[in-house]
Amino acid sequence: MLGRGRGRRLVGLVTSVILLVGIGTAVLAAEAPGLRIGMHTEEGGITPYSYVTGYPGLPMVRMIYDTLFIMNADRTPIPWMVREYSVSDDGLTWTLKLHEGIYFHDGVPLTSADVAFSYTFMTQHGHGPWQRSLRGIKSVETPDEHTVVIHLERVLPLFLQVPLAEVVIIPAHIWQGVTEPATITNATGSGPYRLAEYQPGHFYRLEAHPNYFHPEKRPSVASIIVPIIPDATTMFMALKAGEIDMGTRDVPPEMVEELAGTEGLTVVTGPSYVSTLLVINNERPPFNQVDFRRALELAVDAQYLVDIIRLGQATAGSPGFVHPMAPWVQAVPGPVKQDLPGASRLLEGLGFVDRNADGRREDPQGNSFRQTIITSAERPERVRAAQIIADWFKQVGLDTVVQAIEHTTVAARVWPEFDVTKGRNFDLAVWGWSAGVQENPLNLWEVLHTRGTLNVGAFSDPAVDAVADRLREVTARDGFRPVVEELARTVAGKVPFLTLWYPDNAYAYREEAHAGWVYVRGHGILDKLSLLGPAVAPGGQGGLAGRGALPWVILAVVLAGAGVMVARRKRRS
Amino acid sequence: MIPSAQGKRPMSLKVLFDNPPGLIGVVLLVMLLGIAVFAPQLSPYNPDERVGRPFQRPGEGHLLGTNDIGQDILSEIIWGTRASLTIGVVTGMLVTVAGTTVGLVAGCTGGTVDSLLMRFTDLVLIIPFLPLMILLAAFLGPSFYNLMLVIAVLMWARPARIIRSQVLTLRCRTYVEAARAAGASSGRIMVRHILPGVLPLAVAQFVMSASMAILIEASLSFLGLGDPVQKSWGSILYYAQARGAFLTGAWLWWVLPPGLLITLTVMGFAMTGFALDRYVNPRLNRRQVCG
Repeated sequence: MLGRGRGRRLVGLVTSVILLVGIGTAVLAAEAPGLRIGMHTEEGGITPYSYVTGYPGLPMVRMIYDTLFIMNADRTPIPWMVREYSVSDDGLTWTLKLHEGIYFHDGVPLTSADVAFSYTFMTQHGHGPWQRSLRGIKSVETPDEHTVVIHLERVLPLFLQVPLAEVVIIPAHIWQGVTEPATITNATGSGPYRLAEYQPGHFYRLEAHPNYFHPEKRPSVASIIVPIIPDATTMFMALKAGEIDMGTRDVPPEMVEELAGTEGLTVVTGPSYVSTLLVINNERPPFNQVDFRRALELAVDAQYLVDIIRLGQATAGSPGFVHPMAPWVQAVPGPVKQDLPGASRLLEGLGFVDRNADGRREDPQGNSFRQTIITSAERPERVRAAQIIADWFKQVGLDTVVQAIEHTTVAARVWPEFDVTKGRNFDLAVWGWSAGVQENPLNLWEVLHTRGTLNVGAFSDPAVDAVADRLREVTARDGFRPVVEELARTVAGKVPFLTLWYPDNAYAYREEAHAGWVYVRGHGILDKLSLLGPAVAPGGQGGLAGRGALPWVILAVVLAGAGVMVARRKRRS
Repeated sequence: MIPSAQGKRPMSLKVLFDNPPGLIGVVLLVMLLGIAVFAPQLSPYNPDERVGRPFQRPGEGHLLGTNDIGQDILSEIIWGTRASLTIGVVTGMLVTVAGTTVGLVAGCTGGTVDSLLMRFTDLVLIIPFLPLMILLAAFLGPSFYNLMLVIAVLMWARPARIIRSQVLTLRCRTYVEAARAAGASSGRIMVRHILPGVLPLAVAQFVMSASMAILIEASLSFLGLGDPVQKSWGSILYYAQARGAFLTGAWLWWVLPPGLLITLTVMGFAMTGFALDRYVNPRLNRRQVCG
């Protein structure tokens, strides 16, 4: 039997050990392995030629590869790798001085030769936005290691944005002689993070670039684990459970309240330049008649779609297509008010009459008429929009069927091989354009001009073409506003397609893991700007590295305290 | 009544009523059939109409709340019974007809035809079922009819094997031998003497296939490979999952009820099927003595 005193001491000792182990375990558990960003797609090797999607693929590429300029949170270009620049009086020659001490992740210095190589290589090898962005460049010269001189074929008013803030710089010593760029797996760049590990189907691991050049900005986290989580529910559950610190997936409106109310989670929302449309096949009768398209427009209530499908978290589409908050406009035509009797009158005027009183209008020749809306089955919001719109069309007597089919099939029927010259096979389709289309005013030409490469509905109108052509004559950034506004007004009466809504985006993150998230206008928070912080003194540690040391300090103090207590007791006894 | 193999044991509803699980199964199926038939009378709203605010909780005139576009979930579930039972019954019939035909022809003909048909059946049997089904559903596109076709194409092989083995035992029976000796043609023997013998087994297979088809439809729809425009229990589950019901707590009234109905339907079909199985194979009724 133990004595009372010894028993108490034993209980005390056991309690202390349990407490110490508990504290130690808790402290160790508190140390995160790095910032954890759940990504909803897999993006291959994240090289400029292997990434898959514009989002989140391209922002990930931009973490690893730098650009000469960078778009700030307001989406205006600011110099990045470029220290200073000048332009000739005729606007055709740009001289760019690079910062010194820029290194690729493998330690090789980045010089003007790499810039020239990148621009030349990407002009020759098309993929994603690169080749298109470099149009208009005549030649690139490199008088010395840190100077790049670019000669243009014509004045490019958005030159700082496209291509300078768009096209990434790749290392010549790795890409030289490559003929099949998509096969390259070496993701060495000069960006703030390097790709340290990639387990296909599982995760990416990025680490801060130790020799990042920028005088004011440094990578703000030591390492980033990027697990691939394609399923939305799984991603948001992981966020709630604290298994990831941020999800690349936009939080749907119905989940915003739930996630915002979860302890430790912050939800940030903002407008997005993404647009959701009902594309009309302008080639196919009767959709080639503007009055028929106008009848469709009057039957649709864009604000209702915003209220029901997006729970109010979107902006109703403008008939002029341009987002009311786009950087190039001050005022665009407001959403069209639903007018079902007006739509019916227009249809009757065109000869679409219900002759046999079955509730469905026949075409002017007396034949039965049926139109089909195709939509991607994988996107429930779009299927729901198609169903509601079909209901409205039925109310004005247009027999309408909704076909929810696989997304790639929708793409193949609307935009076969991503080439509008390959034709189209649909009546109506719920479609969407990514943020970049609204952001660059020259893309409006591509969407609305008869020869535009994004004119998937084959819309053609001489008045719209004339205004769109004036976009290409603009020589200064400030010159876009009046032309874009006039284009929006002109398009509004022609109904090339129906712009349904521009969603507000919402993103959730754990502030305790990383508080530096920046909402980039029209784009969201997954951006290089979010993961750059102020430069610190040499030898200092910032971001997660600093946070990671704290638990160890606490543990050391606790252990030291326990040691002192034990020593004092021994001395007493 | 369907005459059995020997024409002695008539098959009647008594078979089911003598077997308590069978009775429960039949009651469940009748109940679900009633819901499907009287859906217009039972559902409080038109399931396609938007009758409330989106994501409404139960109450305020909506017993199970509203879905993501304000349609009444209870009405959706009631009308979804029609789609789900239709898929079960039609697919079950397709599977049974295909399986019975292949099994009958292979068993009665024998020789090369039998070998060819059975090797093909084996091929279908060993193909990984779920991945191929997902692939086919994605390839053919999400449509109500495609879904039934896909399920039928991949499910007929098992009944074919079972029916064939029964045909092999029947074709050696004396009454078949007698018919053959009397000069009956192969076709006549197959249709008049062997087919009636395998019919009870085919009915049991139909019941099992129907329950499997309902389950598979729900699974494929849940995965987004069904037809999201068609109201079925699977598509209700798909929208619930896609619009965050598992995260927002709405699973209680948006996921659980259709899930329970799927379970009850499969249970109903399975219990009926077991009862029919016991009738077809009376040895299953004998008490097992262990040790």
